[in-house]
Amino acid sequence: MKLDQISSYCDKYPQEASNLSQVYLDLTTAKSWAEVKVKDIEPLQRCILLGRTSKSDTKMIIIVPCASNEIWTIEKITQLFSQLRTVPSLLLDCDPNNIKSITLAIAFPDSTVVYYKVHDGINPPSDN
Amino acid sequence: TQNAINLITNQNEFMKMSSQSSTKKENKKLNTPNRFPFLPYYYINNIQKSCVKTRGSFDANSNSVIVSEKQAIQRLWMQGFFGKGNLSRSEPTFEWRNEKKGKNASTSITNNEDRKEIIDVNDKAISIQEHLQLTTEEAFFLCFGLGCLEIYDANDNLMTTHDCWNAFRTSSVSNITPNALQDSPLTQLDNPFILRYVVYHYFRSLGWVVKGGMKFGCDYVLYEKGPEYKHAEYCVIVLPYYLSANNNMNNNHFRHNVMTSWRLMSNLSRVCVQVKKSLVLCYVIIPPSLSDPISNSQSHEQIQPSTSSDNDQHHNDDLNNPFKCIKHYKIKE
Repeated sequence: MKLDQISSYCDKYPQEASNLSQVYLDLTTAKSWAEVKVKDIEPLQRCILLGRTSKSDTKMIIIVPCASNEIWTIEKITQLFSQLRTVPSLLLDCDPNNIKSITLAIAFPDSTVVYYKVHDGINPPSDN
Repeated sequence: TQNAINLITNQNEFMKMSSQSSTKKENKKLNTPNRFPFLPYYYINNIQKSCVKTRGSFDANSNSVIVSEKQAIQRLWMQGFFGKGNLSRSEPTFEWRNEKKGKNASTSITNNEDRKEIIDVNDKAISIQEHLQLTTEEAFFLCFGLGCLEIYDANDNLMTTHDCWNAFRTSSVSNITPNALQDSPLTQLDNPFILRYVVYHYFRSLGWVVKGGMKFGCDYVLYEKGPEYKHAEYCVIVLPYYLSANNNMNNNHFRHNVMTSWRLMSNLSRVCVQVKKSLVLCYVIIPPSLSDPISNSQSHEQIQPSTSSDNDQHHNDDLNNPFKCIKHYKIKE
């Protein structure tokens, strides 16, 4: 059963459990992403997801599940980036210093998940 | 009391209306073998005797009520468009979408690797069951307003309407950081659940299908008949209005900032125009106290519970006192 993979993380961070499971289910079943891995990031006290939309994609996207009533200030986002960069590269499957953007996955009580891509600093508009 | 009766009569009409509109359109997507035969169940005076009670589970962590049983999901969706499929964008069509994927794939597949992927998709579909997720407002309306939903807690105990009223008010503030909490949520007159619920109940009673508006930056969107017919016509934002002298009370749960500057107002209005909706500001007027109900009223609408047996238990003053007057304010660009 799919949810077995994340059940231990749900026990570890009970407050984040419903956000994590909603986003995980959304990516793996509703959006049918080719690969989704769960990574425990202790400095953030939550798990993040690393994923790829299809088998041909080379880059892993960092997904940060969060609740709809969470308040994200500039400080909190800066802290998020700086703490992700302290994570050992083996855990993240990529060079942590190279993290340019992450995607916030905001989970709502009706099970809607809204995705917002957040860049660290100013970025010119791209096709994606 | 006159207003209360009007509201209940409207509920009657609403259920008739929504049931009729659901059956007119042949639902091609939910192809379950036992098509639920439509019967006029939801007349308020017969709710006790003939209502089919649906079972829901309250999950405090996600602040929602989950309905898992397939027939119940279909019933709730087809008779009023309640809830959202947790693996779908709106209508719970996860199984139907996967069946379709499987059928299309099998006729055109020649490549072995692709065939394996399709089989994996079907396996996923078998092991994951989609459920219907109700917000606490929707669930409370079905339980308190229509009397057709029974809500159970995490330990599988049936929750009375009173229990739900307390639990939903508590969970609506539980995720906010502790230092923002001053009073217990059960004593707050401007508790977010109360304010959101009053608006939800009001529009539902008038016959609108009310759904969440977070995709449009507002609190609710209103559909005339339902999401399957037309796009929503209105975006609603809920604004608390305090009758006490200090009207600038900061309530973190509501978009008070919209009323502080024209620039912020036009931001929100702009989004609504882009998606071809009109913006409705829905003020909820909060009385300074509930101790003297009659003198508090200017023009109050009284919300009455449905007459089901477990409602006898609720002593909660909030539910029985005249509550607030909701003002409608439309902005058109």
